[in-house]
Amino acid sequence: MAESGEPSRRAAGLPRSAMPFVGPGARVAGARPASMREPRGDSAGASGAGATSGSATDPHLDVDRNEALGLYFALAVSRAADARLDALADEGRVPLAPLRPPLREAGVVGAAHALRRRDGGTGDVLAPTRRAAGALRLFGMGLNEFFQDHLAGDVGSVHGETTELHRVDLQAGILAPVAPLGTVVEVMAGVTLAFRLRGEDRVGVVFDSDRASSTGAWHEGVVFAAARRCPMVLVVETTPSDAGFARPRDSRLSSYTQKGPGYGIPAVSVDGADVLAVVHAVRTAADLARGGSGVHMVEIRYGEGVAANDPLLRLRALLLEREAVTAAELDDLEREAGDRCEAAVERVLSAPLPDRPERRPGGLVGDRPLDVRRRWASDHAPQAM
Amino acid sequence: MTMTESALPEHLAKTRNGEPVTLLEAISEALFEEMERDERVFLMGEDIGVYGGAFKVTRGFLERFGPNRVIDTPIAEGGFTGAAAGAAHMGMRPVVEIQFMDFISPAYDVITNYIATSLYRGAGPMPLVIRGPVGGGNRGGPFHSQNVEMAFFHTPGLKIVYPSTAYDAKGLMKAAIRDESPVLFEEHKGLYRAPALREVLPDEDYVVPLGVARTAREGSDVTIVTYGAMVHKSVEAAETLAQDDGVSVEVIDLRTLLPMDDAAIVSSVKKTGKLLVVHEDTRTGGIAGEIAMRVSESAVEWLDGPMLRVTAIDAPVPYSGSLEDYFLPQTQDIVEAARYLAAY
Repeated sequence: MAESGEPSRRAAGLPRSAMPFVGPGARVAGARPASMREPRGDSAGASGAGATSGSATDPHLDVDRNEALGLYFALAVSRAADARLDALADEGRVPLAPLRPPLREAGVVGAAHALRRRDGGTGDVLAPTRRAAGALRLFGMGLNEFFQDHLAGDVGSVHGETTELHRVDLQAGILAPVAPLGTVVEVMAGVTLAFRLRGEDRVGVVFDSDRASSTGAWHEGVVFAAARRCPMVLVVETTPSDAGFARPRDSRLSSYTQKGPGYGIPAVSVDGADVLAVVHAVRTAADLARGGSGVHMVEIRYGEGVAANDPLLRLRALLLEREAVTAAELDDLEREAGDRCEAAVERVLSAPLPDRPERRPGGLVGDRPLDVRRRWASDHAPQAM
Repeated sequence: MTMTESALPEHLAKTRNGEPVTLLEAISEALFEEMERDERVFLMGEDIGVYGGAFKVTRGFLERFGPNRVIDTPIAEGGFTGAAAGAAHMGMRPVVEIQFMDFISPAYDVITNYIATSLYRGAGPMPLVIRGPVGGGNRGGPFHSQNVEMAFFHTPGLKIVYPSTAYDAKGLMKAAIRDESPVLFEEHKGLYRAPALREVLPDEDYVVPLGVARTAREGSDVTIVTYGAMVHKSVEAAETLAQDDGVSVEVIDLRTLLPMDDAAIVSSVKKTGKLLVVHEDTRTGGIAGEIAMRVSESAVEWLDGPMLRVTAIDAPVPYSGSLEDYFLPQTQDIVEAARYLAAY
């Protein structure tokens, strides 16, 4: 039920309306993510196995126009989908209030864009953050499916209404998170172990939060993956400027990249409002992991400075400054992202639901009290008395 | 990837040579043969490669299959069990060894929250085996002697296997590896090398289906439902009762705890009218309560007496040998309980 399925557009992540604007070879020359920088703190960039990857700090990141528009649209889709989910939560249509802080679209969208996305279970695997509609769309998941998973219990992938996205579609390369933090790092360690054992040219990128890095599961997953040199990119999302949110309570580190040397893995830190910087950092880490160098960590920092926090505004300003696009083109993309989300929600809400007994997977339903009594009566009647 | 007979390590060639094997050797043979049969099968665990495992279940495997299929892991039960889940997602069939099942607790989260729920979450089947030694009587104290089945019995989505004979251990292990569900496979270390359990196994490939109990001893007066090491104590008790009291005791060996073979239990209870459940695990929250409730739901009108249980007492496994003997169910305990029931 993907709302778009043509491979060429899917690869670019662009909506149909954006395609006429795309010119072959057009580039946004000189787009330099100055916000990509060395990790803070004094140990992450030290020499040795945990040293910061030099290539991830390359300031010369050019992006072609088609790619930039695709990224912009994916960011816009994520924002529009999140806004729609917020509204649905307010209406009581999804069971829990949204928990994900705003303005975090660039991390998972940038990572998704950086990976090799293929159908048929042959591409890279992404374990995204929650509510990553734009990133999942890059991996081939339509907005209908996205909203089905949140709204339409009987036809969604998890057979239940949920604020969080828990879809696992390994053919597409999606390994959704689960509520216990850190667990997905352990699982991704095994996914990427399989890549390595089978000699496959694939990587896995796993997102988890800074707070998840306090769990035993996160630690054991990283220990295992690092020891086995699994082709895994470990993303730590952090919001250091949120007063009281993470750092003061959970860690005395000035940067989570400082954890890297403890595991013998390289680590870089990147501005989470700069989607181009994220793309470059994750792509560099993925290429290195793919090449056999094992686990790499990318810290994605959000919320540094009020004015520059918004990844859509940041990319918009860059593209306009480079005169790569017009404001009207970008406005159209944002409008289309919102329209598509709205249409998907309408379709999902208006679709009929099948009867519950028809859709249970794997014999989920056990005996109910009445079943027991019926069975007892059935067994009992012929022989009793 | 067929192995020539000459390449088979001597200690793994006993069945092929028509020699009896221990329960431990039967498990080794099952693992070895499944790895030969299916290249998706691989092993992970602490010291299972170079060292061959704490109990040497995987001795010689590294040399035969190499480090990509016999993986020595960090001391990180949660990490490598979770990694097994990821590998299973990718179509592989991992077999994880927990060095002593007492150490499975760090993996409890990923087993119960992730692995067991996978199919129900729409994340697909999770074909993996988590195996390791359990049980007391070896003076291992509280950290090397526990039975862990009931910590997982309450988790839908898992299968739990607990063999008592070499034949069953081999056939159940093969069935577990070939199953699409996650299987927790408990191996009583007291049975690993028990001389009385040595037996000649069929040379041909066989499986023992999961979820099917066996009648270890036929009888007509009292039903004992049990599993693992307690099967042998129960049979011993039954022989004593037959000899001393003329009481005929039927012993049902569950073999698989999840799914449980309700039909076998109920059928026997309908025949004898008396139920005694025996397990080495501690008493409160033990499997006896669940079995009693199932019988109550399905066959209460056939009962001619109370349902009783013989179990370990509610305490950590003692370090002291004499206290451990007091802690564990003994044959005489079973004799007395069954005698009481027979006379009821």
